[in-house]
Amino acid sequence: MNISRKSGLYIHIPFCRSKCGYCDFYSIEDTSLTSTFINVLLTEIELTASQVKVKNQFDTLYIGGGTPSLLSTNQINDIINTISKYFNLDNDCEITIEVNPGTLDPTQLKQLSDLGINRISIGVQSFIEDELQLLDRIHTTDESINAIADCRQVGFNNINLDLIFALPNQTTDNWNYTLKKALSFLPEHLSVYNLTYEKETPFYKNLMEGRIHRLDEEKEIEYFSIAHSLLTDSGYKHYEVSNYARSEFYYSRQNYKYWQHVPYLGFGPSAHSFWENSRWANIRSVSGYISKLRQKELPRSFKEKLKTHQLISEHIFLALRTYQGVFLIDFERHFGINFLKKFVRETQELIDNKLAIIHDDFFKLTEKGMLICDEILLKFTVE
Amino acid sequence: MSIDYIRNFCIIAHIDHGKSTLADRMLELTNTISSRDLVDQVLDDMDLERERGITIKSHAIQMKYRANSGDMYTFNLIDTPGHVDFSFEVFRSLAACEGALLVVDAAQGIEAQTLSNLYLAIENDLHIIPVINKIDLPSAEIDSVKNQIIQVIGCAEDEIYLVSAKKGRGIKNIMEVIVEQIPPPTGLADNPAQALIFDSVFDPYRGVITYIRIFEGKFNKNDAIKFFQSSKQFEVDEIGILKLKRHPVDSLQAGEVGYLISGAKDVHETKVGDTITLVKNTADKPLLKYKEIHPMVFSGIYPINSDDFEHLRESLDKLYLNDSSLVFEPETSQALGFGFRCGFLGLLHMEIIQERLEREYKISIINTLPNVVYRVHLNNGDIFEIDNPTKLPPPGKINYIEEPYINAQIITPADYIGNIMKLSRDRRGVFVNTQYLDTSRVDMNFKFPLSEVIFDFFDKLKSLSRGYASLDYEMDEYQRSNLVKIDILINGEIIDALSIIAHKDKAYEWGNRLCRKLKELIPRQMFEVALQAAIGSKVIARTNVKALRKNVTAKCYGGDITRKRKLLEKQKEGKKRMKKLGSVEIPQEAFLALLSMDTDN
Ligand SMILES: Nc1nc2c(ncn2[C@@H]2O[C@H](COP(=O)(O)OP(=O)(O)OP(=O)(O)O)[C@@H](O)[C@H]2O)c(=O)[nH]1
Ligand code: SF4
Ligand SMILES: [Mg+2]
Repeated sequence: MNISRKSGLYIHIPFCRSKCGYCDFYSIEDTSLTSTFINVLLTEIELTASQVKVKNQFDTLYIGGGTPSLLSTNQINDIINTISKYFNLDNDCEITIEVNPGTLDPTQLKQLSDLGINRISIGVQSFIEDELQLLDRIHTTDESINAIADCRQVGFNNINLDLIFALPNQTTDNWNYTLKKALSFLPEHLSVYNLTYEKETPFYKNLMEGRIHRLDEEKEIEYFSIAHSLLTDSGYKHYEVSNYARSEFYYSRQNYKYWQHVPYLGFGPSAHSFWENSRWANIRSVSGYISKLRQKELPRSFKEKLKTHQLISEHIFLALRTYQGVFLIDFERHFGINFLKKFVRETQELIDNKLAIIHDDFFKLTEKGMLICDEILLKFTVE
Repeated sequence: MSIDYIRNFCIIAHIDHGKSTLADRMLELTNTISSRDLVDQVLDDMDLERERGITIKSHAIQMKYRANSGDMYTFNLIDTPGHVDFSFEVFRSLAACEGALLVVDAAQGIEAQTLSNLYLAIENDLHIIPVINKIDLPSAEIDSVKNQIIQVIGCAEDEIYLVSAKKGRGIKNIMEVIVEQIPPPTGLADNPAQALIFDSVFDPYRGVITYIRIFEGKFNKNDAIKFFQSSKQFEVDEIGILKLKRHPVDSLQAGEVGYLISGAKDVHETKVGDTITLVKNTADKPLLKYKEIHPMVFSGIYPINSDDFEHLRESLDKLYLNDSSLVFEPETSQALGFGFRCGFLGLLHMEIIQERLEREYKISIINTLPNVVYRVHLNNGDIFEIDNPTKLPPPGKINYIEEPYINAQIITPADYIGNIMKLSRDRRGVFVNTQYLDTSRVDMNFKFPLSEVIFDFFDKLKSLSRGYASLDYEMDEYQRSNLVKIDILINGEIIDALSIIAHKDKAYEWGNRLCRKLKELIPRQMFEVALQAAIGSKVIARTNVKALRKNVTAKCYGGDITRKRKLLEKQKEGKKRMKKLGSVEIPQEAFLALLSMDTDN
C-alpha cells in the first residue's frame, strides 16, 4: 500500500482568481501580494525547521490552496528548493500540486513535472457546464478536458480529479454523466465530495435566505451510492468517505497521514500541523501572515497539546472514516485499551444492525454505516 | 401606634384583572416606593413572575397613608395571585386581613376566580370592597359589571368603586374607603401571643423568614417563641415590618403585620398557616385549625444526567422551603433511573417548579406526564392509593378503581353554553346546574374527573369561548371508573415512565396520540425505532421512526482535524440533553412536548 508513517509537508497557497461560492478554504482574489507572500513563506519554512529541529524523513509534499497553479514555475521552484534544503525528503517523495483547469498551459505543466512534481490534483468538480457556472468555477468543461489531456501528455501518471455532487437541482443523469466522463480519463484517484453548505460562504447565505435549495437527503444518498457503485464496479477502491483510488498504490499518501496520526507540518495561512501530539494552525490572513513573519514570528492562530483521551477519540474517528477501519491490534498496542471491550455495547449494536463489521482484526463501518458515519462517531468519543 | 390606625387588607381578583397594578398605584400614592424604583407590578419580584406577568406568591407590603382627616394610617397590603393553582395562597392571605378589595375587570366582568376568591373572603368574615378596574378600556361595560357584582354580593350600586389602576384614576378615593370601611384589627398586646404565618420564604443567608400577622400579644427581638404545629422552640433573631425591603424593629404587637426571623432553618418547622406563640406567654390554641394542602397532580421529575440526582434532591429541598405545597419523594424508574415523584397544585405550579429547577438550580430535568391519585380496590378487599401509573397492580388483582372528581364552575357568556356542553361531554363531565348571573352571563356547574381537566382543558375552554369563559374548581369525591393502564413500548421494551392511566373508552385514542407525538419528537436514530402502545399484552397502536440514513461530513478539511474534533465534542455535549431509554435517545423537549399534546381529536 502507498501509505507510510513517515512525516508529511503541506503548503497552502492562499490565492484564487475568483472565489467559488461554496468554498470555505482560505484564499483571496487579490494576487498583488504574491511575491511578498512567497518570500515570507520561505522564511516560515526556515523558522519552523529551526524550531522543531526535524530529523524526520518526509515522503510527501502537498502544495494546495487556494490555487497553486497561479504561481509561476520559479516561485514553485523556490518553494520546493527551500523545502528540500531544510527537510529530508525521500527519493520517492509524493509531491502533489492542486491545479485549476482555468489557469493551466501545457508548457507550465511540463515545467512542474520537471521540478519533480509527480502527482496532480485537478479541480474539475463537474462536466456539466451549467453546474460549473452555479459553482462559480472559472473554467469550462472543455478546459477541464484539455487540462487532463495535457497532464497525461506531459507524463503525469498519478492524477486526481475532484468532483462535487448534490448540487441544487442536480439530476441523476447529470451526475452519471460527470462520473462517466471522469472515468473515461482513467484517473488514478477521485475525490468525490457531497456539496456542503459551510457557514460564511455565499452558498450558505443563499440557502438560508431561500434562494437555493438543498437537495433532499434521499437524493444525496442516491448520488453517493451511484458514485460508489459506478466507481467500485470500474475497479476503484472506496477507501475513505470521499476518496477513491484505482488501486491501493494510488491512495493519497498525504491524506492518510491526516487520518493516521502521522506527523505533518503545514506552511502558509490557515495551514494546520500535527507534530509530537500537538496541533497548531496558522492565522487565516495573508497580510497578518506576512507581518508576523517579517518580525520573524511564527503566525500561529492556536496551538494545543492533545491529551490522551483526545488522541484516542481522534484516532477512532479518523480511522472509522476510512474503509480500513480501526486496526484492533494496533489500537491496543498504542493506547493499552481493548477497543472491542471498551465499546462492547456500541460495537455490538452496530454490528447487529449491519452498520459495522469486524474483519481481519479491523473494526470497520459498512457502506450503510459510512453514510451515517458522523452519528456513529459520536458513540466513540472518549472523555 | 394605636391599633385603630391600622388597616390590614388584601387585593383579590380573577387572574389579570389588575391586582398588582392597583397595588403599584397605592405604593406610588403613599410614596412607599420612589418613582425611580417603581416598575410595573413592582411586587411581582420573582424573575418568573416578571417574565410571565403573573403573580405566583402573595406579597405583603406596608405603607403610611395620611387620610383626608389628617390622621396617619398604617396600611398592610397583601397582593395575591389570581391563578386557580394558587388559590390556597389567597386563602392564607385572607386569614391575615380584616378586609379585601375585590377587583373586577370592567371589560371581562365576573369570572370564575372572582367568585371563588369572594367566597373565601366571605368565609373568612372579611369586609369586602368591590372595585371595578380598567374603566379606561373602550370595551369597559361598567353598568353590566356593576349589575353582576350587585347580584353576587348584594351590595348597593354606590358601594361599588370605579378605578383605572393603569391610569391612576379613583385611587385616592379607594384609600379613603379603606380607612372608613375596613375595620381596624382587634387584639391586645398583653394577651397570650398569637401570630399567624401567612407566608414564609427561605433566604440562603438568613434561613427561614416568616411573614406574620399578629393577632394577640407582642413579640420582641430575642423572645423565645414556639411554633404550634411542630412545637419547636426558637429565639427571635429579628422582627420587622415589610417595606420594599425588610425593616427591623424592636417589637411587633397585636394587629400588626411583619416578618420574623428565628433561626429556623427548615420550613417544616415554620409551616404556613401555623401559629407562633411565646414560650413565656403561651396561647392555649392556634389561630387556625392547621390544614395540610393536598397536591392534585403528580409527576416524576428525573435528572437528565443521573449524576445530578443529589443536586436535584437539594434543589427540591430548597424549593420546598419556599413552597410548602410542593411534595416529593424519591422513586426509581427502569427507564429514567433515580428521581422524585412530585405533587403539585396544578399544571401551572408544575411548570413553575420545573422552570425554577432549570433556571435557578441549573439542572436539566425530565417531567413525566402528570397524573392524579387513583384509589385501587383489590379483590382481597385492600384499598390503596397510587400516584404513579406504574404502581397499578396487574388487572387480575383489581376489583375496581376510583378516580378523583372535581366540582367545576365555569362562568361564561351565554353564547358559549353549547360549546361548553360539548367539551364537557368529551371530557366525561356530569352537568350539575346553570345559574344566570345576569341576562347574558352564566355560571355553569359540572363534575369532572380531575384527570380530564389537568391537561389542556383550560386552553380548550378559552378557545371555544374566545377567551371569555373562566374556570374554577375544587376537589370533590372519588368515583368508580372504568380505567386501564396504557404502556408505551419503544423497540419492544416497556418504558415505565411513559405509562398512563386512561378511561377505557379513550384508551385507543390515547395510545394513538402518544405514539404519534413520540414519533414527531424522537429524532431519527441509527436504527429504526418501533413505537407501540399496549394494554397488557394487547397492542392498540403502533408506528415507527425511520432510521437515520445519512449523516456524514464530506471532507475532513485537509489537516484541520481540530475542527472536526471540536464539532464532535460539541455534538456530544448536545447529546447530554438527551435521555437514553433502552437503546433510544430522547430529547428532554420530547417529555415536555408530551404535556402540550392535544388530547382531543
Ligand atoms: N387598560 C388597563 N389595563 C390595566 C389596568 N390595570 C391593569 N391593567 C393591565 O392588566 C394586565 C394585568 O395586570 P396585573 O396587575 O398584573 O393583574 P393581576 O390581577 O395582578 O394578575 P395576576 O397576579 O396574574 O392574577 C397588565 O397588562 C396591566 O397593565 C387598567 O386600569 N387599565
Ligand atoms: S478555486 Fe478552489 S480554493 Fe479557490 S475558491 Fe474555488 S474551490 Fe476554493
Ligand atoms: Mg398580580
